[in-house]
Amino acid sequence: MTATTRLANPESPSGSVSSVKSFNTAKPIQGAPERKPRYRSTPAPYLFVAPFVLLFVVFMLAPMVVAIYQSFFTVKRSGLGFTGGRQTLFAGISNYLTAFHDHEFMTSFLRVLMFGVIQVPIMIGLSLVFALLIDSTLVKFKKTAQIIVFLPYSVPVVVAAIMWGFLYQPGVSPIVKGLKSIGVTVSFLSPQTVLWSVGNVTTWCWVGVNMVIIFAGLQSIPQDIYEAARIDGAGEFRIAWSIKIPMVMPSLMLTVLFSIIGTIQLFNEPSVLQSITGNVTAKYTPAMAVVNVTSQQNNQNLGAAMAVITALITLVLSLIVSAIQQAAAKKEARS
Amino acid sequence: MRFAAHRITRVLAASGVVAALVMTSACGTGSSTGGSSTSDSGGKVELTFSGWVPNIEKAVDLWNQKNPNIQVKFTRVASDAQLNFGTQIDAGSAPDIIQMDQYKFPNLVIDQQVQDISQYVKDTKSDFIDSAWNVVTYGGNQYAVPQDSGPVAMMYRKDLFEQYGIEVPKTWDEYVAAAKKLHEANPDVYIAQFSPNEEEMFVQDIYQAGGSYLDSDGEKWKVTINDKKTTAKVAERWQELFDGGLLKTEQMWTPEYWSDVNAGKIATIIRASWFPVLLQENAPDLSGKWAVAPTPSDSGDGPYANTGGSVDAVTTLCKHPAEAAKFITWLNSDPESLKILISEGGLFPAAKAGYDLDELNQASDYFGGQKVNDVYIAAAKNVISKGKMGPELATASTSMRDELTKVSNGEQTFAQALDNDAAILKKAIKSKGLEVE
Repeated sequence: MTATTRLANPESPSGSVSSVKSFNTAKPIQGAPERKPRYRSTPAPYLFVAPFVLLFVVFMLAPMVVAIYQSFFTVKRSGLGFTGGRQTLFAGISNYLTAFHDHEFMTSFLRVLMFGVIQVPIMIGLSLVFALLIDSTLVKFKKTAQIIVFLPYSVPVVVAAIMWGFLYQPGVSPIVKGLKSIGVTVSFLSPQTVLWSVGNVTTWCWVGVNMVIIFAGLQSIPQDIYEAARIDGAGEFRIAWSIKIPMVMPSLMLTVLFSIIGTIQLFNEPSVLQSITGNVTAKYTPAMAVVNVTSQQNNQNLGAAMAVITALITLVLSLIVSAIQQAAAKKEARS
Repeated sequence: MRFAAHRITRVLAASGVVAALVMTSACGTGSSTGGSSTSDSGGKVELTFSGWVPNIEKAVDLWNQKNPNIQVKFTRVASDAQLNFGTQIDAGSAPDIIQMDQYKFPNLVIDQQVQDISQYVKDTKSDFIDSAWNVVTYGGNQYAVPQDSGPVAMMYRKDLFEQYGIEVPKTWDEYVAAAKKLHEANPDVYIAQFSPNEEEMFVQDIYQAGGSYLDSDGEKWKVTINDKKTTAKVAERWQELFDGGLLKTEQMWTPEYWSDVNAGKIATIIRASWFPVLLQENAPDLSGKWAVAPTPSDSGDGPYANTGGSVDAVTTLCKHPAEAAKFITWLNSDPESLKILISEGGLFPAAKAGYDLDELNQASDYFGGQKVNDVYIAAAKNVISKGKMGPELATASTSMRDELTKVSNGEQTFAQALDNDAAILKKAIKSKGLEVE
C-alpha cells in the first residue's frame, strides 16, 4: 500500500514541503481502530465556507448560468436594421450549430490540440529534468539554479510575448541575423512555424512553475527509500527513473492537467504575436475566437455558445487525463 | 484520502476552467460605472461624455465656461473601450455622449443604441466635408456628428527620388514604373511596404477608386468590396507590385517596420493625415528627407481617399438630446474648439472651418519646411464618397487582415482576398438577421 507515502499533496505544493516531510511515516499504522466521524449540527462549518461559497456563486456559477442561458438565444433584426428594433428570441441550439459549422473555430481546436500534444510533453519534460537535477546530489548552487529556472514565471506572459516578438522579427532579431550570418535562414513567423514560436514563449514562461510543483513532490519522498535503493546498489539515474519519477507521478499528472487546460485557453501569447505577424489569425485559438465573436462581431449569444463548447471540451479532456491517472495509480497499487 | 484529494482537485480544476471560459463571454453583461444625464429644477443640464482625443478636456472646459446651463463632464477612456459602449448602453451605464470609430459605429445605429439627432444637426451639413457627413447619415437621418477625418496623401523620400533621378509619381502607372526603377537602382529600396495587418493601406486604394465595403438600395445591404468595376484595377496593381517583389512584406508598427523606414528601405508611405507626426516621432533622424505629395491617381489629379475618423454620438440613455447635439456640434465645428482639438489633440477635423485655421497648417521642419496639411486639406476637399457605412465593418476589416496574410504567403491573389472577405462580410450581416444580397 503505497498510497500514503505517495501523497504528494499537489494542492499546495510550495507551502507543504516541510509539513509533508515531518509526516513521513513510511508505513501506515496497521490495525489502528477506525473512528467514525461524528457530525454535529453546528453553524460553524457553514460560516467558515460561506465566504468561498458566496464568491464562488457570484463570480463563478452565476456567470456560467448566465452564459449558458444566453447561448440559447439570438438577437433578430430586420431589413437594413435602422428600423424595426431588435428582438431577443429563443434560438434553441442554433448558436451551437453555427459554432460547429464555423470552420475557423473548429480548426482552432485542432490547432491547440496539436500544440498541446507537442508543447505540453516538452514543457513538462523540461520541468521534470530541471526538478530532478536540482533535487539530485549532482548539482551545485541549487538555490540559484532554481531561481534562474523559476524567474521567467515572474515576467507577465504579455511582456514575455512582446520580448520574444523582438527576437522573432527578422529586421531586428539578433537570432535571425546571427543565424543568417552563418548561412541559416529561419523564419519564426511563417504560417508553419509561428505556432511553435508561440509554444516557445509558453514553455519559457511556464517551465519554472511546473518545475516547482514537481520539485515539491520530490521533496516529499522519504529519504529512507533512497537509502534502501543505494544499499541495493542503485545509482542516481536508477533512483531517478525507478523511484523519483513514479513517486512524483501525481504532481506530474497535475502539471499535465493544468497545462492542457492552459493550452485550450491559449490567448495572451498568440494575441501579442498577432501584432507582428498576420499568420496568427483572428480566430487562431478557441479563446481568441470567443473574444472575436463577442466583442468584434458583437454577438454575445454566439460567443456564449462557443465558450460553453470550449469549456465542455476542456472538461472532457480534463476528465480523460484524470481517468488515465487513476487507472495508472490503481494498476500500480495492485502490483 | 488520496483519491478524495484528487477528486477535489479535479472538480475544482474542471469547474474553474468552465467558469473562467464562460466568464470570458459573460463578463460583457456586467455593469460598470457610468453616468446618466440629470437635470435639476433650475433647468441646468448635466451631460456625461467619454472619448479618447488627447487634451479634449480643455475644449470641454471652454464649453462649460460659456454654457453654465449645459455642463459636460468628460471621462477619458482608451479607444479599445469603445467596444464596450454597446453593452454599457444595454446595461444603462453608458455616458450620454460617446466617441466612436466610424467603422464600429454602424453596429450601434443598427442596434438602436444611439439617438437619431437629425432634427438638431441637419442644418449643419454644409459645415462638414461630404465624406464625413456620409458616415453619420443612415437611411437619410443623422445619428452622430463627425469629429475627425483621415484624408490620404503620399509621404515620399525626396532625397531618394532625387538621388536616383526618378520623378515623383502623379499617376498610378508612374507609381508602378517608379517602383521598378527604384528597386533596380537599389535592390534594398522598395516603393512601399505591404502589411497585412494594416489592411486599410490596401482598402484605401479601393475607396479612391470609388469602391466601398457596402452599399444599399434602401432595402437590402449589398456587399461591394469585391465589385470588379471598382476593385479589379486596384487588385491588379497590388498584385503586380507584389509579384514583382517591389513591396517589402512586413507588419506595420513593428520594430522591424520602423527599422526599415529608418534604414531608408521604404521610399513612400501612402497614409492618412495622422501619419506624418508618427513618422516624425519614429524616424527623427530622417528630418528634411521626407516630403508630402498628393496620392497618385488615375487622372493624376484626384480624387482621393478618406479613411475616416471618429464620430460623437448621443446614446439612447441621454435625456437631453437637444443639448447634447448642441454641444457636439460646437465641439466639432466651432473654430474656438477646433483650435484646441487641432493643436493639442492632433486632430484633422471633419469640419471645413478647421481647414482655414493656422493651427492646422503650419510649416514642418521635418518635412523640409513644407506645409504638409496643404496637401491633406486639398485631398479632403476632393474625396470620392460613394458607398455606405454599414454593419459588421470591424469583422470585415479583421478578416481582410487574415485574407491579406494569405496573399503575403502566396496562397491567393488580392482579387481572391476580396472575394473571400466579401463572403465573410455577407455571412456576418446575415447572421445579424439583416437583409443582404
